[in-house]
Amino acid sequence: MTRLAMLFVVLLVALAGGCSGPPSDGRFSFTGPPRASFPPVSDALAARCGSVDCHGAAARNLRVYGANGLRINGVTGQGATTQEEYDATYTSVVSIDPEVLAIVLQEGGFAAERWIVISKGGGHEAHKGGTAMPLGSVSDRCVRSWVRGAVDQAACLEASEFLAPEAP
Amino acid sequence: MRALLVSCLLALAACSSDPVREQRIELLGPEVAGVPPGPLHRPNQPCLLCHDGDGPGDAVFSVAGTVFKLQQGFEPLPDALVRLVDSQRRHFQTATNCAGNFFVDPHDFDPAYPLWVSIEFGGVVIPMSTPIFREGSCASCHGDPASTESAGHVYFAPVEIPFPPSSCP
Repeated sequence: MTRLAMLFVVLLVALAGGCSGPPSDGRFSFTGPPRASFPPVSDALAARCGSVDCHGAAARNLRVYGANGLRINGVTGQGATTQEEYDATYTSVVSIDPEVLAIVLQEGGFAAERWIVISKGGGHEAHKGGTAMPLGSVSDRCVRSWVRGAVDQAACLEASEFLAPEAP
Repeated sequence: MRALLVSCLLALAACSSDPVREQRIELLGPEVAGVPPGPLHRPNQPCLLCHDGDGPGDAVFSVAGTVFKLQQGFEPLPDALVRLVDSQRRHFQTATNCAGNFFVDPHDFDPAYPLWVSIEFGGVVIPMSTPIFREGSCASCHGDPASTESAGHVYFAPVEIPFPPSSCP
């Protein structure tokens, strides 16, 4: 076999390997960030990401439920976000890129921008909604603090009130 | 040669259509009898579906929608001011017409999202509770009826209040 033919076979094997994904019934399990401390984070995400024209839509992979966006189980209008909605948002958030989130969690929240929720929200990679959580902003600090295991309540509260900028 | 050129042009023309948009427009149904296409037509429909510059509407809008008087019912609110503030602190204001419709020409104001909106009528200002992040048609998120995925139509008052008479027919 010539060197060129061997190279071709190696390339084919590599391509075949590249095309083979995880099994369709494969499952990935990990312990997510604490659910109990999630509501203020969810409120921040709802304000920054969860409007009906963005992640407050059922068609999104990342779905944010809440008072001002996507509701659940027949709830309409602007009543307070329900526990069921916090649960649904939590499930959606930790189900996005869970393998990377698990690594970030194991490393105590170090370099959390590896996780797609922060990388897209922070503008580190392409995101149709732009930079919704700029690096160092209250929303960024809120989500990162949750991943680190100690929620920055003040940052989350401030992030949950996304007010219009004042006139220059 | 000519046949080949015509075939290519036909293929290009076929590719330029947007079947998703076309289907969504078709679902809106025909014009209401007696209301010709224009500023008063199709209140509370997603305006930019046709009027975003790529759709069939001649006029192009950056933001457009309809304001109703009450949460219940579909009586339009004319003469309301619609105030817009974008992320670059640029302000713009327009007003609703007799159908409750308002529309913004992108030459006048093309917002950098997020965009905050409030409605003012009779000196009372009602801010929208969330900013808008990308959608210029109010009705895309405010379609009727209200549901888990829609906030319902844009209204000024949640309950019946007296409104001053307008100059609308």
